[in-house]
Amino acid sequence: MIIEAGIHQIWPGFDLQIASELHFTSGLTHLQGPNGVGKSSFLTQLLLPRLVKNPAYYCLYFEQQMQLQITAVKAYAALMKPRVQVEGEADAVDFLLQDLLRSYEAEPRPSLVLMDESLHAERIKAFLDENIPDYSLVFSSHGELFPSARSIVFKPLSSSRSLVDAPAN
Amino acid sequence: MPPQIKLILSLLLLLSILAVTLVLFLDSLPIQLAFFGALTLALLFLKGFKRWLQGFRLMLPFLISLSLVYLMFGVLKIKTQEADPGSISYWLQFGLGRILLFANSVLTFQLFFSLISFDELLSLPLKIGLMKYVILGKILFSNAFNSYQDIGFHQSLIPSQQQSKQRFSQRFKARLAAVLALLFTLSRESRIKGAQIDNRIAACHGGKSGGTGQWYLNLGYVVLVTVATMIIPIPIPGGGFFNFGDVMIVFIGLHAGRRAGALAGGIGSAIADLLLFPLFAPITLLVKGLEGWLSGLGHKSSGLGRFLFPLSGCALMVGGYFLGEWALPQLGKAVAVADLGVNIVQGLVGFVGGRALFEAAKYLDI
Repeated sequence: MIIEAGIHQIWPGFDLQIASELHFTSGLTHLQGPNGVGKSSFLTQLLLPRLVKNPAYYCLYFEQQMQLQITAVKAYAALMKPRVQVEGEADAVDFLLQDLLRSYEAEPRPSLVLMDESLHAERIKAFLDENIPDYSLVFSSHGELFPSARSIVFKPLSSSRSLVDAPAN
Repeated sequence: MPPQIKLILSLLLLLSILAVTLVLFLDSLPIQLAFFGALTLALLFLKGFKRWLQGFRLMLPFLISLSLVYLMFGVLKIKTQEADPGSISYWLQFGLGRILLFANSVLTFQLFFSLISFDELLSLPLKIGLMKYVILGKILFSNAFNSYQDIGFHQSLIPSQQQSKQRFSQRFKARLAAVLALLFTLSRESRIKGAQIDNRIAACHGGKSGGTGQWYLNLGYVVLVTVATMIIPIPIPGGGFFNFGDVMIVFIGLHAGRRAGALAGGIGSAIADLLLFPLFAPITLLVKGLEGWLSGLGHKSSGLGRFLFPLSGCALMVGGYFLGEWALPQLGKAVAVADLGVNIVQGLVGFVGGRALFEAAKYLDI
């Protein structure tokens, strides 16, 4: 998965300037930067649209406020796996990870996992390390979660533009 | 112009066009053609080409499939209204009139809805007891459409949904899961917002707050049926369209009882018809209302009743549409016969899907 260098419009009146081509093929990638600089928008408006219905990858996304995602997963589980109880965020995360594992076992593909300020980051990574050999994890967080992750840094240039740069680690 | 005057004038215009095209000049091809041209021009002027094209695209597959049915009638020499064996040219000419009539009914309602906005309804001097339905209805409608898109997005990101080979049953269940999530979201929203409106009314207009809440739950069900009917409008030969409305009607009947089932089934489906294919709205109001009521008889039953009542509701829907379409001169036996097979499938899907939703909803706090 590649995001080309250049200016990408995210919303009317806000864009991201990507300094150089970004690759998300393997390993861990940490999106860093202050609040409101466009990290979540980068995930939802740039990365996810390229991943949805892309047969080359399994894509898994953990949104920041999981409220509607929990409802969507809960309803899906109620119909597909009625014996699996999905009550809250932790259950929804578990369901999605187990579903990824089942899908991977049935039809192996590289997996791209996106996390937006997830409270379950360590658990998700531990599960992936243990079960999914071929994955790439892209996450945003304020602290340094995983030291081995390469960084993509977001800097505000103006109220309508942020710079996205991947310095050599 | 004051909104009440605008509403009255728009209603008069709507009724006049319907009276001329659907009653007075039902079989006059030149009149239908003239109205088709005039309505198209008016909509182009009011909505602009892009939005007009969007509305026309929705109707186009339906019109094409209807043309094919009339062509088939000609080939099969189906008897005419005068009991003569109908030729291809007879059925094509008859069909063209009916297709134009159908298109005119859709365009007339599109014209009406482009003249009157939801916000203008909100500015009408309605009593608060009625206004609360308009306010909450608007909130729930916009919430439903936005939520359904987001739910679909989240469910498309569940890995098993990304596998290349999906069985039909799996795809159907996935669609049901999206409907179930919408049901959950909208039920919660109608409870929260409805209670807030009740409290506000109690504070500003006096009276008690914290009523039974039945009005907003029923309104939520109406919106759910409308949205489920409109979300997947797949045009089908002869008339009507395949959708998830019946699934929702069966579910609401089983989950909330006869009254809720009848209200949601009748009003919710009729609103969807008025917005999409208005010619069917009168039949729909009655038939789907009865379907919801019958399904609702299973609410307090146990065991067999929960199967038999929804099943009889769906069977009544199939029979009701067949008789209703046959009896209405604007639709006629051609549409009734052509619609029968599709309505049987729609009824079966409604029964199976509604029952599945009812069972799955036990795992959710709806």
